[in-house]
Amino acid sequence: MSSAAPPPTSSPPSADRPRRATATGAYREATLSAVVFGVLFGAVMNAAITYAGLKIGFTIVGSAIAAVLGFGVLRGILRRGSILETNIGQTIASAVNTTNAGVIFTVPVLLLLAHSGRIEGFELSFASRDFWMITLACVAGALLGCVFIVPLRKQMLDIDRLRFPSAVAVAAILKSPGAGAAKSVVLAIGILVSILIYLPAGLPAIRNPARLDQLDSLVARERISARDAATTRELAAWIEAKAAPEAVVQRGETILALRELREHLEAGPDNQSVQTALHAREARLRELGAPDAAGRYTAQACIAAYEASTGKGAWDALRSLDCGWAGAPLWGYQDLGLRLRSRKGADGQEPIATDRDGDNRPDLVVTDERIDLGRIIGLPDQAAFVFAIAPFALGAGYLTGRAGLMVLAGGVLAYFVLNPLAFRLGYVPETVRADQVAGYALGAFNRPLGIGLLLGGAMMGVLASMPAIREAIKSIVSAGRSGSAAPGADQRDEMSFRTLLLVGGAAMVLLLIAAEFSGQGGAAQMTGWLSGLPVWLARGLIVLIAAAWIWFAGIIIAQCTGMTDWSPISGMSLLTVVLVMMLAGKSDVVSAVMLGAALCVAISCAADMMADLKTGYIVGGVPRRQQWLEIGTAWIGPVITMATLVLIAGVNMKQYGAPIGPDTPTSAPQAQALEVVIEGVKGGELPYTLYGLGAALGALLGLGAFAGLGVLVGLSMYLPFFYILTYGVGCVANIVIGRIKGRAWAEEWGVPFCAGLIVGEAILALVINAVVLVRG
Amino acid sequence: MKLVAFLIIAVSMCVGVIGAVTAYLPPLSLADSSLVGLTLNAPAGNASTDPRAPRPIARKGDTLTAELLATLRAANVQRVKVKEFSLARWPEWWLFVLGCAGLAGGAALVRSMRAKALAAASSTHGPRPSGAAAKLGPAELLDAMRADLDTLRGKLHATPGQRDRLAAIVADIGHMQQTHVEAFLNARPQLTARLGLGGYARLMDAFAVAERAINRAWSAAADEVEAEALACIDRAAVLLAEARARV
Repeated sequence: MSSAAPPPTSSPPSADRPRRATATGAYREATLSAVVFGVLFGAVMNAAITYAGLKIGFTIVGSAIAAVLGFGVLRGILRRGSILETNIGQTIASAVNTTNAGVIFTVPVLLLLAHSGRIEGFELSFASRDFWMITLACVAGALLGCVFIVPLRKQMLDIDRLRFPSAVAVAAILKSPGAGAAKSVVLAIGILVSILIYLPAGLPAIRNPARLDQLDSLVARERISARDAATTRELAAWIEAKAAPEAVVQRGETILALRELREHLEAGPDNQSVQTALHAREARLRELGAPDAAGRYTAQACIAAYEASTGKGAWDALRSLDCGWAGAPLWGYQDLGLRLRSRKGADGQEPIATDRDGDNRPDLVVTDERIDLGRIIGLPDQAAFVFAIAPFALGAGYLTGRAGLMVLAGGVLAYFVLNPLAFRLGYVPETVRADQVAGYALGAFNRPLGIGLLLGGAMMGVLASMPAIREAIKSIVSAGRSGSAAPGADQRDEMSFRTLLLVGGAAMVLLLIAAEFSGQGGAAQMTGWLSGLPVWLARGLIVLIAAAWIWFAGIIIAQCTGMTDWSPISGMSLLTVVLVMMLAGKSDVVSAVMLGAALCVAISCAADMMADLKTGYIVGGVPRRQQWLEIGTAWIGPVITMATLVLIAGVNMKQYGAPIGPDTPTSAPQAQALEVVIEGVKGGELPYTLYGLGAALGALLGLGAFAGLGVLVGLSMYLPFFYILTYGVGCVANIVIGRIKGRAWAEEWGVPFCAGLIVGEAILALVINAVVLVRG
Repeated sequence: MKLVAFLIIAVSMCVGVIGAVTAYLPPLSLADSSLVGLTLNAPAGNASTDPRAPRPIARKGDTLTAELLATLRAANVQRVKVKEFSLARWPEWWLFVLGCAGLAGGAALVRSMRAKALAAASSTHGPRPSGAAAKLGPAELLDAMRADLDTLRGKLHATPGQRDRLAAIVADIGHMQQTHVEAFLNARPQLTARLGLGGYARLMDAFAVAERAINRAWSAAADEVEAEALACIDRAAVLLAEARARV
């Protein structure tokens, strides 16, 4: 064995020091430029994606985009960024950005409940205690998520070798400059192909006010409803006549007056006369009712009509999407007009088999986002064989490879066995049609069983990996004592156990403070399972249980992301809210949602950190540096998201009289879903037994082939099948290409191409969202 | 046999899931006394003959009464979805238990077959996939990696130009990552059979640090920071020796 280091044949003189080395000749990794880039880019992404997420219901993690931009900024503009420095930049950017999902899936539900009077005394403004307590809880969640997942790095990455497809894609981008021109070209082709595939799926999100002569064509192409077209024609008639119905004008006047009163209240001290005027105006608005029976005219349309009729504005202002004017989307797959073959009967009517939406035309089989292959090939209606047009799912499936087939198997079980059988055996209500079975079953039993399977599978995974986890933790502890993780390593790999305990302890204290002073606070009596205990003890127990749950949920999410790239964050936050409502009582919704938000932030941080560490592993980064920087910056994310949320809610309140929700441009779809769950918990509608039965099946599944099988099958029952099918195509493509061209070829060329597929869609989605946001 | 085991698992999973789905779906053949007072958690029955406009007989949230039960039975409704769970109202519990038993049996079969296969593999080195690196055992692979690093270091000594040296590091380490490292990772079943999961974890603890040093050497070479690349190659050689000792 020869291990003596040969002296470098020539030590680079300082004048010729390579650009990727620091002044002392060290390899550039955790530099100030990388930190500044990461924080700035992460903060901008966070604020923008918070708004987009509240508007459209999903978020983007952004590691891949940060990696691409990192190259542009650090290597292109600053002309010195190394692969590892760019990796640090993307690590920080994604840490700052990733927390927004946790906040926007949960906290807006409190605004919805408070606005509808279902919780009292809750206020979200910079001056309110609840704002600061929720922010504090989310910061604690971010820290706990990072701290809890660090000790599992060795087990998940070094020992179990979880795949983390997106992390592999980011590493492929980072390595592209050194990987040779051919691979860079393949990566670029992947990005281009992804953009070309996704462009017609994403472009229709951009809409312009339609021309009147377009309306019939838009209705025919199912881009707008006949009702939208009728509203547009009415608005056009008002513009033409320069007059609107009196009811509309009066409503506009009242809404505007209300808005001014609210602004007045916000600007000045609490004024009784303004309050009285406000209540009078609100009563007047209720009395006026909707200006038409169908409730078609938006608040903005009423205001524009009032302003135009009083000479304060132009009639042309009604020609805007906010006023309910129909939007003509840019070209998308749906415009291909691919429909089922018509089967009109003698009565000239299209049968329900080809016309489910009842518009007397055969249904579309290709929409902007999906291809309904099942209907094209004539499968029974209850089997939903629909593919998502999603290059990222294709790429993630390819990068996962054979293991991903288990996810596909779970989907096949749910959608081709369970749902058709349940329909055939009369397990679904008689009012649910065959084509509606997939949608009904997802909420009624697939999702509850899927969440249970995830829990049981993860539990079995933890038990089966216990020897590995024990060794990993022992290694970290001994590294902390000796200063070396493994003999021969000249630097500590991981943060020390003592530091983790310190940061974790501090985060727990923050969480306890937030739980004590939020919502009903320490003054309230517990009415749930912990009723009868002293309140301070019950609060402490809730925080301890929540922290233990955060640890377990973090493992589940990291495993899911590691094996498949999907993460059931909303399912986990739902369970947290249920758990806290059971412990503290169903009335303490604020505390439940606050801890749900903390958990959501924690698990998104945990999954993100593990993915970043995987990228770091592939490019040779030092885990300890990534861990320190992620912990040091992850707390910024919740602060930015919460501040953005308060700003949006404030503006909405002034403009639309509601802080968030269906009457505003930020409808917060995920919060609306959580609102349904909270009402379900209060009404005793949640199928707890199904969670338990699913957990038993998940644990038993993990006894056989491999411990994580329950997680994979559960995940596929939890997710909509159309993404799973596209993902499955990627898995099968990996296996087939590996068989034909050899495993090495499939990896060498398939990985950069599929990294391109993932990155291309992420970049295009970001650009399209930005365009939508800028245009309002 | 393997196929049979996986078939048992798949069928048991289907049976168990079907059984679980009925937990909240008591059949209306049960006596009124066990159904009256329950709350519907989904609409029940269909009073309409038009498939486009279904009209439920009872709505979600309705409480079951003797009259409503009679109406539903008359409309040939077999089951209703209720909010409350009770084992006494779950006649298909045995399906779920059967599914669980099948999963446990299938898992036992898979485990015993896997143990036999691994025992055979560790005694005979077993069948391995084709490819030069894949034909080597885990210890031989580690030796081969160290030999590769030694060869690379020798090559670097003999190469005068820095650009050529860096290109050699990128090419040789890139090749090593795709062949020997990949093959070593694929040897997990043999290694866990021989060392146990704890021993495998200790081995991988050392190997992972070595692999990361190799990866870092590649990145440093791609970034033209030769000193770091060379230091990482040296460190990787030491760490691979440590991993070899743990095999």
